[in-house]
Amino acid sequence: MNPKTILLVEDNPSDIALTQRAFGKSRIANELVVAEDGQEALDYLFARGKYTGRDESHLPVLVLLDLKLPQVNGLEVLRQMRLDPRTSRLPVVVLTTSKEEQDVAQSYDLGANSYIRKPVDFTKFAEAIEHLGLYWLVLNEPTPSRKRTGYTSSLTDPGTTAPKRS
Amino acid sequence: MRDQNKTMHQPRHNYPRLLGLVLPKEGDNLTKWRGLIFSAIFAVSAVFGLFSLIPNLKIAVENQQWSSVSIYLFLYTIWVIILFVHRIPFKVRVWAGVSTYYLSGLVALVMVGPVGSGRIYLIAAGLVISLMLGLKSGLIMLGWNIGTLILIGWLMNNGIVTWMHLTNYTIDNWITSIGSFFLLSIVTTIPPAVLVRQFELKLLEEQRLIERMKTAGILLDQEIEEHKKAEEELKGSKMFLDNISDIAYTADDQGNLTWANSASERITGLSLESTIGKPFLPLFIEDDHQSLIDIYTRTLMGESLENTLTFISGITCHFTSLPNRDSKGEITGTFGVARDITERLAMERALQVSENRLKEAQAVARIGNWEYDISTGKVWGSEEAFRLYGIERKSEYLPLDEVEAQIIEAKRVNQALVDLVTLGKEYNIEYQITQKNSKKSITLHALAELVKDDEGNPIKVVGIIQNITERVQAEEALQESRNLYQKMNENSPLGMHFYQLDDNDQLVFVGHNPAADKLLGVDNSQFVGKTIGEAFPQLLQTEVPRRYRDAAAKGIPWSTEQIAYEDGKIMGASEVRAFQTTPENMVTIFADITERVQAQAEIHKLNAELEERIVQRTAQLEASNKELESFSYSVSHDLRSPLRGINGWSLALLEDYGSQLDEQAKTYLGRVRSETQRMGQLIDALLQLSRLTRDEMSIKVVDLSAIAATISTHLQKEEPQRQVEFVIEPGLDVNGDPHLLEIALTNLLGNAFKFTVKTPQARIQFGQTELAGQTVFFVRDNGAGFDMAHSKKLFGAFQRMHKTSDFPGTGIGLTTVQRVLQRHGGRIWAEAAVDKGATFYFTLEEIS
Repeated sequence: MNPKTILLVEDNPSDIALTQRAFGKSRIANELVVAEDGQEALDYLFARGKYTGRDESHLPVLVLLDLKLPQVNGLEVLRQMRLDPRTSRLPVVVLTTSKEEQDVAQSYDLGANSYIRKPVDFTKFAEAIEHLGLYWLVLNEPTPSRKRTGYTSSLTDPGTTAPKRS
Repeated sequence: MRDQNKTMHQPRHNYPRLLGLVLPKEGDNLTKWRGLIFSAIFAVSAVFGLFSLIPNLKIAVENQQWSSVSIYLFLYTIWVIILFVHRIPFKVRVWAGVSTYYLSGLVALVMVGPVGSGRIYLIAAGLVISLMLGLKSGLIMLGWNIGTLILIGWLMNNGIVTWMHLTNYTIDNWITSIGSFFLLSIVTTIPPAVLVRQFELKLLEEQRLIERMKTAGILLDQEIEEHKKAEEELKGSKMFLDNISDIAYTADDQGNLTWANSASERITGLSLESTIGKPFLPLFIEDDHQSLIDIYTRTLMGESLENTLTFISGITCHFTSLPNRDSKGEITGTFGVARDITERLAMERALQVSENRLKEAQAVARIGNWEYDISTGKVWGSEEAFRLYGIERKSEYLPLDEVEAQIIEAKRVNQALVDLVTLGKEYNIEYQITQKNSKKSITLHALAELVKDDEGNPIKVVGIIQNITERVQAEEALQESRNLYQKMNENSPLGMHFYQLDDNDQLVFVGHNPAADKLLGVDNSQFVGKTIGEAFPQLLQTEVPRRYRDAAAKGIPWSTEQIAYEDGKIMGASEVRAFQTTPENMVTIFADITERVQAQAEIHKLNAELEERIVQRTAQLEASNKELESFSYSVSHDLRSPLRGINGWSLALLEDYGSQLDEQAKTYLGRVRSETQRMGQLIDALLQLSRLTRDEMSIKVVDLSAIAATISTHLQKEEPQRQVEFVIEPGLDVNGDPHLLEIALTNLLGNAFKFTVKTPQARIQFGQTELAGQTVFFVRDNGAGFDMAHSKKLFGAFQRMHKTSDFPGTGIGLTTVQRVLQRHGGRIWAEAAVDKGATFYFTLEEIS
């Protein structure tokens, strides 16, 4: 099992399939874990619910988060992630169809690392996924593991530990 | 003056006397010597006459000839009188003496005969006359005496007269007698006369000598004495002059004051020492110098003049100046007197002032006075009287024909005067005149009274006239306003009640107008004379009586509205205003405002309903806005996802199963994909449009030129193969929302860029111009243009002018632009023609 997993939070099966297809086409080999709603995403990250017993120290290297989700929406997922020291520094790329300003602004306010709008044209979408994988999985230096550093102060100020990148 | 005094006071009888004789003194004149001789002759006559008188008297008394006695006594008395009574003028005495001698001689000759004392008397008469009156008189007397003797001889010879005592009368011895008398007379008369003449000449010569000595300044002792006396007298007169209040003065012919009395010190305010001997001109104010010099010069020429001069002390004097002459009559200077007339002048001035005041007062009051003299029929008029008639005052009397011509009712005015004079009827009339020169019509009020003499006969009429035009006009205006007021009261739709405060401080109803009856539905005349409480008892419990009293007594106005409700409905309403008209009087004005109040109530109700409706609508609007927002949100998310799916899976089909599809199928799949892309663009455009309406605007200064330049750069980068010329006017700053304006310009310039794609030499202009006095911006291209017939559709959503295959587009762009400009208070319109380009004009309201 490739240790570098990517968590895709997406409820639309068509979009899941298209995203998987795009990853496949761009030859990104990382395992793509899919959570179909917000609650499932949080359960996965914190090894709760149906993921109880999962090795919670094994966190994905990147979270691709859709905003419009059933039950717990994307922004709420992001907020809870940033509140928890375990996931507060985890790179989160919002991948959604909305271009609403309030969505973009709120995402960044809650500590999203990037915001990408899914183009209608699949070719462009595939390009975006390829760039995204290249950037976050290859070029970007991953955040140090919290356990190793023992760094705890991020609870009070999650924004400083999650540098905004656009 | 001195000379004059001397001659005036020269003593006449200061000669030494001896036994009644006046003895001559040295330097005496001929008259005195004659007097002396005369006195001597009569003294001799008196003494020697006594010797001849006594025997003659004795004989006459013895013979009882009483006539002779009386003649002797008479003659002797005359001699004594002539001798001693010096008061009788010299010539009278001389003629009296001569006459007595002559008459004595005549009587003696007639009575005694040609020889004897008679001839002696005649000779004496001749002697006296020649001594006293001179040689010529002596010769005349001699001739007269001879004639007398011849006459007597002729009378005797003819027997008319006879000598009583003469017996031997003949012509011969009479002629002899006359001859001897003639010789004797010559001997006795001529020498004394010649002597006297010589002496006279001598005396005259001596007098001339004395006169010459005088002029040479040598005064004889006597003169000095006389001079002293004269000076004393002069002192006396100076004392007199010093004690009078008028100035007396003398001046020389060089303009210097030589003497002045003490009054001058008081009047000039300067001591005599400082003024005498010095020029007198500086004593007077400069204004008078010229006239003083004139008067002084003329006085020195011999004129006697009067004039008025003012001293520098401020005192004005009336001067009488005369030339001062010396004894030879030559003018040596001037003298005169001056009287202080300051007070008199002040009084005159005061009188003038008060006269002027009277005139002014008359002019101000426009009162003229006049006097009709019944005896002469003339009418005297004051200045104001003339002015009132507009007649120039050429004389004091009013030109009656002119006056009458001006009076409109001359007959009535005349009759009033006649009635006053003849019947004593009161004269108090008003009449109109038309002033001849100004054509102005004025009204005069005239009052007059009859003045009678002590016997009760009318002598004159005194009267006044006053211009009362303004008063009459004011009265007319007042009457007009009264009429107007009354008519307004009668015709006013507003009810009125009039009240008056009576002596007990009670408001009493005094009147009303017709509208009051109509509005209240009662006959208000029943209230007249009643107090407010009696008339309207229902008001006693309200504040109304107190408010009304405040209005009447203190002038505090009050207004109120009274509304009667029944079951919540307005049954009636009235508006009442109370205010003071004159002190102690007030009026209340009331109107039926039921309809108005009802209407207002209705409006209030409607307003309340409307507000409620607005609240509801606003809530609905807010709800629908929220819905729209969530709708947009859904559209943004949910409509795009399936599109992407369709697009993605179409591509997947092509990629994965492309080998199994023919070309036709592949083309169809390509179309599916492009349609999804277009749908995505449409959704994006719609979202933008909806956001434009919702987002808050932030107004700043925006440089449209810079924005346009950036957009043009982007456009050219997108299609670098195209050659498009952009002409952008620099420095176009406006106030607005930068983001929205950028969207608008992007659409406009993007359109221009798009529609010039087929134009070989594309040119796109952005700038500013004036249209109908308004500043407008424009974006102009030389591209495809469009048919103006469809310009109405231009700004509607999804309306397109061109085929998508020619020029692709969403049909939302211009709608977006219009929305942006509308939000800025501006508008947009276009001018275009097919294949000739299009120009889009737009305006922005000045937002600060």
